[in-house]
Amino acid sequence: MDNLIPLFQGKNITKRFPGTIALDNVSFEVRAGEVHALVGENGAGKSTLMLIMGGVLQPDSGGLFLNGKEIQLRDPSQAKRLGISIVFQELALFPNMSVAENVFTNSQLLKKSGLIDFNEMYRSTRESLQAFGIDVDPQSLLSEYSLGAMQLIEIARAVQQKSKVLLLDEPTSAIGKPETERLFRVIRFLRDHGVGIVYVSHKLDEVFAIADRITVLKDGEFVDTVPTRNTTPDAVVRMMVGKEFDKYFPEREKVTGKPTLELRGLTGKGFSDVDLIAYSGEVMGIFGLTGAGRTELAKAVFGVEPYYSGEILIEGKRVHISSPAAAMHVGVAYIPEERKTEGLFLGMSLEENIAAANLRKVSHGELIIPERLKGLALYAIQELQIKATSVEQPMKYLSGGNQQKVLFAKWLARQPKVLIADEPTRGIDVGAKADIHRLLHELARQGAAVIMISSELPEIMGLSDRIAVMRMGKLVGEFDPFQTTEEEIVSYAAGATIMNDFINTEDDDGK
Amino acid sequence: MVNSPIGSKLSTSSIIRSKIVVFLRNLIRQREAVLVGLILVECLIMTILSPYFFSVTNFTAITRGFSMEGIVTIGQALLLIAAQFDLSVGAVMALTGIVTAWLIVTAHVPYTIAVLGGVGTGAFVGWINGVLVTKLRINALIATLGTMIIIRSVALGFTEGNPVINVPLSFAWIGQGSVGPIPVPFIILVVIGLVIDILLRRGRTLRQLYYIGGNSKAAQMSGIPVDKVVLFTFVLTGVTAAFGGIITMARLTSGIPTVFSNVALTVIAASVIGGMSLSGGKGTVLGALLGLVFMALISNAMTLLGVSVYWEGTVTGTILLVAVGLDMFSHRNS
Repeated sequence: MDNLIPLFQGKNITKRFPGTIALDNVSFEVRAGEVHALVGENGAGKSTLMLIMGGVLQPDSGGLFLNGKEIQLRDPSQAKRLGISIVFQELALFPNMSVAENVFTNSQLLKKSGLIDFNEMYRSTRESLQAFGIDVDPQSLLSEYSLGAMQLIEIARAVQQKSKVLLLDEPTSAIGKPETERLFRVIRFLRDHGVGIVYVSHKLDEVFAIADRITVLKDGEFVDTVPTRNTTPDAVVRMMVGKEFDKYFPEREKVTGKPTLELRGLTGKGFSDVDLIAYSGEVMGIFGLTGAGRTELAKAVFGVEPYYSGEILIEGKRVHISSPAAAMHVGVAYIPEERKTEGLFLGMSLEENIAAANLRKVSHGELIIPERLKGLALYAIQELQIKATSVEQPMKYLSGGNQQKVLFAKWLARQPKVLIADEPTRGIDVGAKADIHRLLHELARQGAAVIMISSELPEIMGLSDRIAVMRMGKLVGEFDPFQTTEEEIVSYAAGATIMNDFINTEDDDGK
Repeated sequence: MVNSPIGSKLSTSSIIRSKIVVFLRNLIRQREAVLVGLILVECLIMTILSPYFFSVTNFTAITRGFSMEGIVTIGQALLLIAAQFDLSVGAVMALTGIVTAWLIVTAHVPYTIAVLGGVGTGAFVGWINGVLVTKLRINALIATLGTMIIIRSVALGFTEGNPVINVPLSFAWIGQGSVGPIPVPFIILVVIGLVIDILLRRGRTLRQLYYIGGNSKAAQMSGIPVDKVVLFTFVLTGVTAAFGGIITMARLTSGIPTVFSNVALTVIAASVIGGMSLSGGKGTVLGALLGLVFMALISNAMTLLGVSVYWEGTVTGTILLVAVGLDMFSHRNS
């Protein structure tokens, strides 16, 4: 497996953007038949390196070598022709077309007459997806499948295009654990067939489960490349942040408070008969797999989606929540999972983003007072340690972690009684993650009822005062984090059969 | 080693070039400033080319000419910021002019009641448009295309295709009159424009339009009553269209059912030249109005220089595409 000439290599790559050096003389290689993980905090340059290797961006200096031969990549389609495929975080698929048409996007099979040969396309698609071990009807519309399945279909497309190099950018950021396992099986299958795979991820547990080698970038510079078996997650985190994070989670000193939010038999689209009490002064973690109904429940409590039956009580008083505005009125705040599409105004400034939920607060009667607008933002920047050049900086130029802090600032300014944070640390770097954790904890200590929805077990275990587990729209258990184990939580979330998959993973790998 | 001096020269020139690009980009982004500059240049050139250009008569004619469309532009601009638009404004202008003229000429009601009737009609059509878009979730293009066709037909049917004539001269003052050298329609435009521009920059209600246009989902989830605000803006657009229609009716002393068929597209074009985008979230009322003024000056120049009016569209269409093209260029290079 240790070929002398790497399959695909970037040598001494440098890329500047106005004001920053995104990559400074970085070299990186992937061999045929290996999974090479690329890790680093946000802004470390992982994505830039991926985009350069996928032909989306061009380096300022340095070169790319495919099988030892220097190549120039002008655009992604040229990279594809050379066998290099990039699968983006945001999938580039066509939901209203059939699965097969998605796989054969730009290379439909034709009959002799010149018409599209659908039967052959369906057959070939079914074959390749079966090789991945997933059962998908090539004739049905893509939109009928989950995000996780779509991702595999996108990978199938890359394989169909005879890709020898597969670049995966945060492939698990939007899918749950079982789907991740399925993805890993596909990745291993491809690796064993000689494909070189670059795997960019924030999630170290996944990296350690799938990667043969790990390369760490920090602030646009190469830190080290190490074989996975010769290192530990702690060592990699140290390389990523340059310092030791021995305390991921703040200390807990639980304040037993009054019941602030109470749900009685709440039923809506995607969840049913949920009874739940969140107390002031505590962080309640809600764990579950993708599709368990957590986000749907949160959105119903926040008035984004309707609930059909059941009651919501705030501080013991029955309330009717029919819109986000109504939810805000009774003191509920919600930080959505889909940060970019549901939370942020990317083209608008930092101060305008914070003011979005506080327009009344920054106004005198009908008139907005610019000083108050700015004051609110300056206060937030200081309190939450947001890194921004000014309050007028457009949101799209902030890092993921800082964007998330702005969203928190927007809601904290309202001093909510109940804060629901949906996957609050997804896709943000380790440093900002710790800040968000402290913030959630701080908020609870100041008397809010904090509900944290998360798919990351360490976060759920480390931060929650109580853990509720959801599965298939139902609340299936409630746990004290000090009297349970990760295994128990997962078994409740997944049900026993899928639990076996988790345990058997290692065995599969060995065979 | 041999190459290094050449290399450094290259990089110096590329630094200068990139500085120029940055400067141009920032300039292009200040759309209002660019338009003011272009308008001044246009005036300067025309002053040299035509002896008739720089005169009170000509300026009065130009301002009176664009004022009604200007008032309509204000409403359309608000919708564009919220990523909506209204194709029915031209038909609404025709219908509200007819309703007001009919109320004056045939029903003999006092002017204020007649105007209120016209404005109410405009508001009602705007409300219908708003309901179609926000409650029935019909795309604005289809919804307002539908109402446009209906309203135009109502205007034609109500009048059997004939103008409502003989509006008294005392009412005509709104469209024909002047205060000193300044036409009354222009004064109305400036007053409405100033109020709306200030409310858009500083007002809590209209400020929400930028949030809605920027990301309507996030706006809703920030507690902004998206549907209410959009509905209100459609009503406001209907009202501005009514103002435009009534003032034009006063100017012509008759309500004509067949006119204004191009107004909607003209004011959208002016707004886009002035910095708006169909995808919403950007632009100002001032910018949109400057876009309209710019187009009006081009048209005036062509008239004064003896170019057939038939060629006007060639010029304004080109300007529209150049404006959008530059906008795309400036964003691609960022």
